[in-house]
Formats: sequence, structure tokens, C-alpha cells
Amino acid sequence: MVVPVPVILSYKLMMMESAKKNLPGFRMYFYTFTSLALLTLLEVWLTQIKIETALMVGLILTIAVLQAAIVLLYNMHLKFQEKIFAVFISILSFLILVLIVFTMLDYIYR
Amino acid sequence: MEHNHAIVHRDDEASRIGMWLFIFTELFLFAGLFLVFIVYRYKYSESFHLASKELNITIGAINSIVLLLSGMTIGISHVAIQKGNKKLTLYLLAITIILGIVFLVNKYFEWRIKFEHGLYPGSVDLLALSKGDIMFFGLYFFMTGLHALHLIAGLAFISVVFGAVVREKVHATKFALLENCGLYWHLVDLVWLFLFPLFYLIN
Repeated sequence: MVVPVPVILSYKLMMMESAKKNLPGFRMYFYTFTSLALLTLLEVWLTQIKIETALMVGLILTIAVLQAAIVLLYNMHLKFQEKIFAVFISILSFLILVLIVFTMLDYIYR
Repeated sequence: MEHNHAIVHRDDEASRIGMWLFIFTELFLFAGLFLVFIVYRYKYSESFHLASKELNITIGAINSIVLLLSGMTIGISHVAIQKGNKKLTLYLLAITIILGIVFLVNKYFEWRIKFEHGLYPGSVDLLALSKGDIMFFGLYFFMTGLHALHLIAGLAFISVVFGAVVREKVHATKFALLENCGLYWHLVDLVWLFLFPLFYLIN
């Protein structure tokens, strides 16, 4: 296919513009790593102190979900991309939650 | 004057959507396994409680930090390539590969200890224990093993991207391959964020 030079240049410029638009900085990755590492240490600390088991399990799972949200939003760029990706992942998370809750209800009350 | 510059069709958005669809299937696979774990944990709560005490929280926590650190390095490499910094991109990809190998070496030592104690699927020692113990260690080896296989696949993927950056097939305006590689690596990260508390911490 033969394309005039200005078209190629505008295409390249468009790609560069698109790249700049979605560009999270170095710092963001450092902050997400620090927060994820601190949350991991918090999880470990919760197992070392004396609290009720149900509370500990609840807190640890809440922290794990929070960590997953940080990874999805920042490291996997859901926050910076088209909203459709976030909608997809929300539907997926809901389906997984339904799968786990209904299976457990069925298992417990059968 | 005639211009003979050919333009190759490229659709980064479609490539990203494809990667996300693949990630969705992977998430469903691990979600199914987590569901199996939760059901058996409920059924054999006492055995799971005692069996999980056999796992070393320190090694698990170190592996978590190593994996999170590798997530940061591959993320920064994505920024570096967009800024056109090839050298930094290559350094960061190499560090990510090293961190992935450190994770696997740690996992190897952890598994070796379990093998030495006879706590592996099919061993005479494990079969002599309760059904709950057999289930716990069966799931432990299967799920952490599957995760390790994903990690090895991720390392191979990063190596391919490393080569592509060296040959300048991935550069400042064409970085979809590196971006997708990063997405896959973060998936490995994401799965571990649930494996670690479920197997090591909740007891």
C-alpha cells in the first residue's frame, strides 16, 4: 500500500499522542509497590496478634481484595484506560462473587 | 515525486482487548480453584488449620515482596519505553526476570522442605494423614505449581519482549507487546495476592 509521507507522520504523531495520554509516571509504580508491600506486612502482622479468628480472616481477605484493586487500577492501568475495561472487570468480579457465595450457600444449607 | 512508504496496519487497542480477554479466562480458572479451596477449607477446617501451620510465613512474605517489586520494575519499564529510554527499559526487564527467578528459587526450597517431610501428593507419609491434610497439600502443590508455571511462562514472555526491545521492534511509539507482557505479569502478581493469605496466613 502506498501512503504519502504526511499520512505516515500524522499516524506516528497520533501514536505518540496516544502514548502520552496513557502515561503514568515512575512515581506511581513506586507508590503502588510501597502500599502493596505495607499491606502485605499488615496481613502478616494480623496473624501475629491475638484477635478473634473470624475478624482476622475478614480483615486479611479485605486487605487482599484492596491489594487486588490497587493492582488492577494502577499497575494494570484500568484507571487510565477506556471505561469499558473497568466495566468488564466489574462484571467478572461480580460473577466470581456470585459463583463463590451461591456455591457456599448451597454447600452449607443442603 | 512518488512516495513509496508502506504503512503496516497496527491495532494496539485490539491487541490490548485480546490480552484482557485472555486474562479474564485465567481469572476464572483461578477463581474456580479458589472456590474448591474454600469449600474444602469449610469441610476440613481443623485439618486445614493445622496443615497451613506447616507453611513458612516468612518465605511466603518474602516471595510476596519479591513479586510486588517485579511488578513495579516491569511497570516502570513500560513508562521508560514510552519515554524512549531503551537502556533503562532493558535494565528493568532484566531485573524483573531476576526477581521472577528469585521467586522460583524460594519456591523450590519451600517445596523441597515439604518433599523431605514426605508432604507431597501420593507420598506414603501424607496418605497416612487425614483426608483434610491430603486435600490441603494436594491443593497447595497444584495451585502454587500452576502459579509457578504461569510465572515461568511470564519469564519466557519477558525474554521475548527483551529481545524485541534490543532489536527495536518495540520502541517509544510501538510498545503494545511490552504493555501486554506487563498485563500478564501483573496477573501472576494478582493471583499470588490471594494464594499467599489463603494458604499461609488464614489458620
